[in-house]
Formats: sequence, structure tokens, C-alpha cells
Amino acid sequence: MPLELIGSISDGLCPERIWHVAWHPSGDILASCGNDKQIQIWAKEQNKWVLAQSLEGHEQTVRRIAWSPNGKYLAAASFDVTTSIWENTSSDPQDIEFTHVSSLEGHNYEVKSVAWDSTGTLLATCSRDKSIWIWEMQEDNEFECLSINSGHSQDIKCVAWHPTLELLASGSYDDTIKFWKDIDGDWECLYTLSGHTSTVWDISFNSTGDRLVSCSDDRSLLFWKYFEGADKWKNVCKLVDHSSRPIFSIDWSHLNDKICTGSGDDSISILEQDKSASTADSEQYKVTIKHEKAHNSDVNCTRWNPKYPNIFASCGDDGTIKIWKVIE
Amino acid sequence: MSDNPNPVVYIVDGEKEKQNQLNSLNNESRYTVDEDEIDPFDELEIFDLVRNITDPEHPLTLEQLNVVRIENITIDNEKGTIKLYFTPTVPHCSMANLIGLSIKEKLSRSLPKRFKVDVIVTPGSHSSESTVNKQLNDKERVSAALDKSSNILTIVNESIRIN
Repeated sequence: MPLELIGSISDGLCPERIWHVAWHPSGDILASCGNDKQIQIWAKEQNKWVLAQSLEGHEQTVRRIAWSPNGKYLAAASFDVTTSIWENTSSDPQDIEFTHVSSLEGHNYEVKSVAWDSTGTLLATCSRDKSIWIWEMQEDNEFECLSINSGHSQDIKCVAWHPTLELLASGSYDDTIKFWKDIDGDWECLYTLSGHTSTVWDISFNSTGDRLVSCSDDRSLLFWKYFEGADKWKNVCKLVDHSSRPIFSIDWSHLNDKICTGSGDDSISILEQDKSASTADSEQYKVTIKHEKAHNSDVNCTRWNPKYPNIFASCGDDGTIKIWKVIE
Repeated sequence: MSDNPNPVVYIVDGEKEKQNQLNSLNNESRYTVDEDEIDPFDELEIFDLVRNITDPEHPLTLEQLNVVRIENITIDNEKGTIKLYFTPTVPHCSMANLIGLSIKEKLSRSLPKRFKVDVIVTPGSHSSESTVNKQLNDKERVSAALDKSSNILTIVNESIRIN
């Protein structure tokens, strides 16, 4: 199975380092952010990706961005310690016209990641200050902080909401993954997953939310499964030496269960579960594509298109965004 | 108060200087008109880039303090990897992060992007070796530390300026 490059954005508009890309739920719009402090919104016109809008306002690097499930809002986490919220105020939903509506303040150091829950009412942010904040969106675009969660002993790199439940997962420089849940009004750490031997850079749930995959600076991928009877997440597969450098990105497609990774060795991989070799306690995942030199430098982010199967976007330190298609 | 008020100063070998000049001459003759051809780097060129970085505490270079040595640099042009071990002057040196950061930043500003640079504390030379290495290896934290307006950036710029 090969990987085909079907689009590329690198016309000088991009910053030196692109940290993150995020697909709009429609699958036809892509947002990117990087160390030029801006957020770029790209739209497809015929067969070309063109810059639809550039959002400015952050004073430092924009590290990650996240679309609300309805695609009306975009949240951006920045090293300037704030998270900005942007709303598409265009009357025509096909049009792109984002306006800054809110700035979430409170973290003491760089905000590393941001994520909306499946209902689009809760927002989670995490920071180098070792805390996770849960925000609730009010009707007038105001955000109220519901909870400040500490438990990680170091810098928190990523947060991801469960696809259907009000359950949040986080990955940290302390090498662990933690799960958080609202229990009678207080957010608590439910589980801590240990297994990685260095920084957890990215995590992703599968479509049903009973699996989680994590990638790390230790160059390995770990697959975790939820065992309902035991009420536990257990490691069911470990792929060591997946890369020769840190692995920065992982994403589990909710359309067809494929997994894509992006690594500091400039490569992109596609993985799938080998169902015939998997049992209830131990699963096998195999690399079906390893595309070397996908970028000219570290690959920072890989994200599946939420609407069109087998399409994903990647970005890297080489200042380019690429759109790929898995040819079956 | 300085961690190491009286550091040992190493005499910089005059022979090495000569060798450098020779080397740069050789480099010039190696240049090709074909711009697509990748010009390989060697250990001496990497050493040349970092030897004159100044210590954050003393008006001395990392070469004079024996923090960087050519034999502690390895380069693989094929793979595009560079590994540089640096030796803090004392095992409890609180400046180790800053020194490593200056080396990293100097190399990343000077070298083409195809190179992956690992800057690592020489094994056994520092009391919190793994903490320093993890911090230096985290490109996100390095990039935040060197974001504009940070005073770390000012110190790093000061250290690598004279090159």
C-alpha cells in the first residue's frame, strides 16, 4: 500500500515551524499554527489549497488548535500563556470569517494543548505549569473555569477527550498518561497509565473510545484497552523502536481505524490492527506503510480527515503542510 | 556566587588553529558549482562553530574551559545526525542547561535543517545528567525558552555572539 501526496502548502505564507494542523469537521477546511504566532485557515478551491484567513493576536508561538464539533469555533493554545477562542461569524456557513471572541487566562506558563469535548460545551487546556483546566462555554461566548486539575508532576503535553463520554486523557513530560472525570462536581484523576520511559507527546482514542494509543520520546507506541469488568486501562500492545527519533504525533482514524504517526526521523507511518493475531488481552498492530522523508525535517503533526477516509494532513519543522492519501 | 569560581583554563592548541585554517582552505577547494550537491560537514567544522561560545559565568570560551572537545563530536552526513557531548566544568554546575542550550542554538542557526543535533552531557560529568539531557532534547521546551522576550534568549545570544 503506498502513500500518495495529493496536496502541498508551502508558498512562503507558512512560518518556519508548523506545530499543528486540524481539520474542520466538514473535511474541506484545514487550520494550521506555528511559531509565527498566527493561525492560518486553508480552504480548498478546485484542486488548490488557498489561504482563506490569517488569525493574529497571540504574542508567542501557537502550539495547538482545535475545532469545536460543530465547526463554528476554533480554540488555540499559545506559549503566551493564553488560549484564544475564535468564532466563524459569517452568515453563510460555507464562508470563512473568524472573529476573536474570548481569551482564556489563568495558566502560569505556556499552554501546550487544547481540546473540545464531544458536545462542544467543555474545553480542556494543559500547560507547562503541570495543570489541566476544564472550561465550560456559556451561551454568551463566556468561558467559566470549572476545575483546575493537578496530578502530573511535570509539563503536560497533550489532552484528548473520549469520543462520547465526559472523560479526558492527558500525556505528560512525566512519562505518564492520566484520565480525568467529573465525580460529583469535582474532577479527579481516575487512572494513571505508566509504561513509557520518556515524554508522552501525543495520544488518540479510537472511534468507540475503548482503546487509546500513545506515542513518546522513547520512540515507542503503546496501545491501551479499557477492561470494563476490572475498570482498568491495560497495555495490550507495545511497539518499541517504531522510530529512530522521538515520535511527536499519533492519530486514530474514526472512519476506518487506521492509525497514522509522525516522527522526528521525518517519516510518516500507517498502522492497522492485525485482528487474526489479536486476543482479548494482547493485540497486534502492524505497520502497513512507512514513508521515509515525508518532510525535510521533523514531522510535528499528522491528522486524519474526519469526513473523507484515507486522507490525512501532516506538517513539520520544514514549514510545509502536506495532504496524503492512502491508496488501498 | 559562581558554581566554579576558579575554573581550570586550558591552553588552546596553536596547532589546532593551523589545522583549522588548512581545513577551511580544503573546504573551499571542495566547493562545487552544482548547487544540488550536498556539501558534507566534518567534526572539525562542527567544533569550529561551538568552540568560541562563551561561558555564561566566565569571560572564557567553551574550548578554553574544556567543555567542548573535538573528540566528543560525531557526525553522520548520510543520516544527517550530529551528536555532541559537552562536559560541565563541575558536576553540580547550575549553568549546564544554559551551556547546552547555547550549543544547540548555535548549531541550529548555523547548520542546514537536514541535521538532527543531539547535545548531551558527557556521561558521569554531571549530578543531574538525565534531567539536563531530557530538557535539552525537548524541542518544544527549547523553543519556548528561546521565544522572543525571554531573558534566556538574551543570555544565549550573548554567549554565541562572538562567533
